[in-house]
This record gives sequence, structure tokens and C-alpha cells, in this order.
Amino acid sequence: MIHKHTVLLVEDDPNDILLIQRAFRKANLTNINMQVIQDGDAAIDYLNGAGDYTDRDHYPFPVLILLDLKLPRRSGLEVLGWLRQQPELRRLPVIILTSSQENTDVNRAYDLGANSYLVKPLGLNALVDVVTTINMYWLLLNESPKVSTNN
Amino acid sequence: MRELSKQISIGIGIAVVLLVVNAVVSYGSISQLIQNERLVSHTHQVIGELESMFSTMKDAETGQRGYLLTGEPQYLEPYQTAIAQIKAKVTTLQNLTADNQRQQKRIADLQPLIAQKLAELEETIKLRREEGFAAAVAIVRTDQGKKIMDGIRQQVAVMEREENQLLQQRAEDCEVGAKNALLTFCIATLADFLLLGLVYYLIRQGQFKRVTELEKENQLLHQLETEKNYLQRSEARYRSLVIASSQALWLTNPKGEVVEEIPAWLTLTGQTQQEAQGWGWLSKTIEAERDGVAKGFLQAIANKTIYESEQTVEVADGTYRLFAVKSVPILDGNGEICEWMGTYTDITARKQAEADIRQLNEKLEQRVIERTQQLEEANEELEAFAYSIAHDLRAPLRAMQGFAEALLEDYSNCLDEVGKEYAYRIVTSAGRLEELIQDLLAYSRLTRAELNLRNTNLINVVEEAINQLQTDSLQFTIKGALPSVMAHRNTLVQVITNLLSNAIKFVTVGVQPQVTISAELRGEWVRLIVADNGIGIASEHQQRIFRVFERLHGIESYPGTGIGLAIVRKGIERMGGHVGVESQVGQASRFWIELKSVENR
Repeated sequence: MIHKHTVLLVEDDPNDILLIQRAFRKANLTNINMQVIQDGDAAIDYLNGAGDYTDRDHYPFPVLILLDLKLPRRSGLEVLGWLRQQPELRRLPVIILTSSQENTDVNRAYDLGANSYLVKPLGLNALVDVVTTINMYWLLLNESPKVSTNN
Repeated sequence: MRELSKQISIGIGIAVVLLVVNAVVSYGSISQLIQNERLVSHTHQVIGELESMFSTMKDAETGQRGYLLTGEPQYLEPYQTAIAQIKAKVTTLQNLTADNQRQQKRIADLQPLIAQKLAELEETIKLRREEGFAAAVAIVRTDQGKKIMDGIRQQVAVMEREENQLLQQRAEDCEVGAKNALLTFCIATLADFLLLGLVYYLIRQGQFKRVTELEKENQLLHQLETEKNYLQRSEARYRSLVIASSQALWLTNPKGEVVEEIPAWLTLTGQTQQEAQGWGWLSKTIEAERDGVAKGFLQAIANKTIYESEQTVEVADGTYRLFAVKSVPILDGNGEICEWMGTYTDITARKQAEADIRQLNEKLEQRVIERTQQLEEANEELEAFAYSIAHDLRAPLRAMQGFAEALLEDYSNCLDEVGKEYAYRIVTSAGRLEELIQDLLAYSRLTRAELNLRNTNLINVVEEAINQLQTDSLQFTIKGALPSVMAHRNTLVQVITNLLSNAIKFVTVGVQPQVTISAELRGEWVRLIVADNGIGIASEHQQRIFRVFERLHGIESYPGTGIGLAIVRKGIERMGGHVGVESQVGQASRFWIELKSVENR
């Protein structure tokens, strides 16, 4: 089995999930194993390896999180805040991928420790460009930090 | 002044004394003169008497000789007369020279000689008569008679000499006395004149001084009068002020006791003078405040300071009203209190009004708080709404556009031209909606954002705006210098971008847009003018175009959201500036914005 980078997509809008998955497919990013989580609490369970996500073979620890801000239960910013408080997990790179261009959202995300902030573009090709760039930069060029995962 | 009148008195005193002395001395001198005169005449009298006596003796001898020669008795007549007179004459002489011992002695010596002579004369006469001429002549021939007569003559001569000496001496005394008297008189008179002159001078001096002092006094009086008038006016003013501003005037002695009539107080409280007397006035203050008032006032009496308080006082109709009380100690020249003057001003209405105002203020504040809260809520809702637009509305939009594009890309071979056209329309509509949402969000952000104004280089901003338009930059001409303005850079970039995109958008089909950008200084303002060669705007529309969603043209001829100029106006207004347009239909338009110049700050 070829080693794949696990990317955790935390996104509640099924349309967006579909479009993003299509964009990844279109961009031909076969090195990526995408895990989709649809609410904040589930995202924290996944990262903790708790609840439904204890099996790391099925649910491997991600190298990158694509995090939407507006989520059911815990919001994206809450998930981010929680993550940066975890001694073992706090270095995990997080890219905010959202439709909000509000300054307050952007600033708060960076304040809480987001590594990048991207606005969901309009149009298919633009989205393909975005995911291509993410792959290029964060998975291929970027040196990933060591994140300890006991479980 | 007192000194002067003293000097004058002394002068006059000395003059009078001198006059008296002069008079006394003169009287003395004249008395002396008279005395001397009397003595001289006395001496003359003595001499006369001496000669008269001697002549009488000679008369007697002459008579004797005549008889002796003739024997005729008629010749005895002078003899008889002389005999009869001689004794009296000697007595007279004795009397006259009573004050002169030497003459008295001489007279005493003379008397026997006279007696001898008279005896000789009598004897010879008797002999002539009885024995005849010869017997008598014999006796005469003895020269006895002549010797006696010589003795008498000698004695008389001695006496006369004495008297003459006296006479001479007295004449001399007299002369000296007269001279002295004259001299004394002259000197005294002269001294008097001098003194009188001095006194006159002093009086004149005094008069002058008195006149000057009188003038000064008049001046002082005038001044006093003026001051008195001023004081009276001031007092009247003060009094009317006090009467006008307060309900009652109140007077006490230094110990705070009412002693004088205080009618205003009595009218106010309904007390009788008797009741108010002493500290009786205090009983009208509400009981709860009485001790405090007494304490405060006693303290003020001890310190001689003004006593101010607010007191609840029972007035004539039995109600209690609130008074502002101010008691002022009136001090005398030594800083001691001579009386207390108090004013009672009814402040019940004022206090009520203050309380009302306070209550109103509280209500108002409460309402402001409520309104602010409501506004904050509304604002939060608006923000939530904007957030929701930004996030939730755009999600389905993205989906619409994304899947329509996916259809076109992934299933184009299953769609005929009409199907493709429909899918394409979905894509463009979604694009327009996205544009609209972006503009609305920009407008909304502009409304809420805090804009810090900084020194902003206008030329940089204009160039950046031209770049953002991503169009042919040759359409834009910058004319002249563009000064710096006070602005929020990003907002200004957005504003100018909108203005420029407007300028190149609204042109007649086929016309190459030409936009001129210039600036002019208007006082403290910098006006940036964007002049186009476009289709122009009717004057009735010139205000409308700056409102949100206002469009003058169909979406087909000139696409747009109708928010661009609203953003221009909102952005400029948020930066404290103005916007405007000068245009006519079919003519070019000149849009302008005004911002504060950097120089005038």
C-alpha cells in the first residue's frame, strides 16, 4: 500500500464536500487520503481517536486539517482553539477553508493559531487551483512538524 | 493749623504786653517829666521867694533910710509893709524848702540876721523919732546895719546858688528823662509795629492755609458725598437683590439672638416678634434639623465665618419648606461681630425641579441604555446577517455555480445547445449574485468598520486603483499634481476604483473611454475630480445614484450591482469628506470627492 497523506476535511455542507472531493479528483491528487468530518465534536473525537474514531487504521491521524468555520455543535474556531491547547497535537497544521471574508473571522483564526486562511472560491476551476496549490505547498514543499500520536 | 493759631495768639499776646509795658514806661517817664517840671517850677518859686524876701528886706531898709533922712513918717510906709510881710515870707520859704535840710538850716541861720536887721532898723527909726537925725545917723555910721544886710545878702546868694544848682540838675534830669521816654516809646512802638506785622503775616498765612485746607476739606467732603451716594446706591441695590432673591431677611446680635424687628421673617413664618426673640427663631426649623443648625451656627459664631445650610422651616401656613440659609457675620473695624445678617431663600421648588430633572435624567439614561442595547442588538443582528450572507448565502450559490459548471464540464456531451445555454445562465446568474453579495458586504463593512485617517498619498492610491481595474491604463490621464489627503488608504482605494470603473463603464457603445483625473485645493479640502467622456446623468438623478441599489440603466446595457456609488459616498462620508457630480444628459460627467488636506492639519 502506497503511503498516503491523510487530510482531514471538516466541512458540514454536503455540496461543498462534493465539490471539494471533485476538485481533488480533478487535480489528480492520488497521494491524498481524505477523511471528511461533518461537525466540530466529531472532529475533536477523530483527533483524539475517541468515539467512533478509535481505529487508526481506518481513521489515520492527519497531516493537515482543512477546517470550515461554520459547523454544527462546535464551531471551527472552537475546534482550532481546543487543538492548540493539546500538548501532543498542537503543532498540527490547520488551514481554514471557509466562505467568510470577514476581517474578524480572519484575525481570530490567526490569533488562535491557524496556519493559513483560504476563502472558498466561486467556480470549479478556481477550486481545483486551490486544492492543487494546497497539495503543492503544504504536503510536498512544506516540512511537517512532529506530532506525537500515542493512540 | 493749631500751631499757627498758637503762634498768632503768642504774637498778639507779646504785642499787647509790649503795648502795656510801653504805656507803663511812658506813663512813668511822663510822670517823671511832670515831677521834674514841678520841681523846676518849685525851685523857680523858691528863688522867687528868696528874691522877694530879700527885696522886702531892702524895701524895709529903703523906708528906714528915707525916714532917717527926712523924718517924714510917710517914708515909713514901705518899712511898715515889709515888716508885716517878712515873717510870712520866711515861713513860705521854710515851707517850700521843707525837703531840703541844707536850705532849712540856712533859713534858720538867716532868721537871726533878719531879726537883727529888723531890730537895727527899729532902733534907728526910734532914735530919729525921739533923739533926731544925728543919733540915728551915728548908729548908721557904725555900719552895723550894713554888715547885717551883707550877711543876709550873702546867705540869700548861697541859697540862690543852691537852688540854681538844683535847677540846673533838674533841667538836665528832665532832658534825660524826656529823651529816655522818647527812646523807650519809639523802641516799644517799633517793636509793636513789627509784632503786629508778624501777626498780620501769620494771620494771612493762616488764612491762606485755611483756604487751602478748606478746599481740601471741600474735596474730601465731595469725595465722602460721592462715596456715600455710591454706598447708598450699592446698599439699595444689595437690598433689592436680597429682597428679590430671598424670602426673608433675618438679623441677630453677635450672639445669634434676635433683638431687632425682623418683619420679613415674621411674615414668612408667622412668628410674633416675641416668639422670634432670642433664639426663638430656631423653633421654626424642623425638629430633626434643629440641633444641627444650632451647632453649626454656634460654630460659625465662634469662628466668625459665614454659616451656610439648607434647612426645613415651617412657614406661616404650617407647611414645611426647604430653604437655603446663608448667615453672614458683619464685622466692625476690630474684626468683632457687630451683627448677623441672614437670608432665607426658598429652594423647595428648585429642589423639586432638581429632583425631577434627576429623575428625568435617570429615565433618559435608562432609555439611552435600553436604546443602546437595542441598537447593539440590532447591530449584532446586522453583523450576524452580514455573516450569514457571507457564509450561508454563498454556500448554496457556490454549489449552484459549481454543479452547473460540473454539468457543463462533465456532461457536455449529454446536453444539447439549449441545455448548455441554461446551465451557462445558472453560472452567470450565480456570478452576478456573488458580485452583489461582495458589494453588499463591502458596503456593510464600510458602515461598521472603524476608519483611522492617515496622511495618504493620493497619486499612489489612484495608481493602485487603476491597477486593480485590470484594464487599459491608457484610458486614464492624471492631470497636474495630486496632493496628499487624510484618508483610510484601503477605503480610498476602493472608492476611487469604483469611481474609475464607473467612468469607463458608462460610455456610448463604440466610444473609447477617456478619463481625466485631477485635483484642486479648496481651502482645507482637496477635491479629486474624475472627468469622463460618458453618457452623462440627468440632474434629477444626480442625488439618487449615490443610494444603494439605485440603477439608471438595465442590466443588459450596463451591468452592475447598483452599489458602487453608494460605497463611494459611504466611504467618503466615513472619512469626513463629501461627494458630488456635475453632469447633464449626453454630456460628460465630473464626479468629485473632497477630503481634508494634509497641510491644514
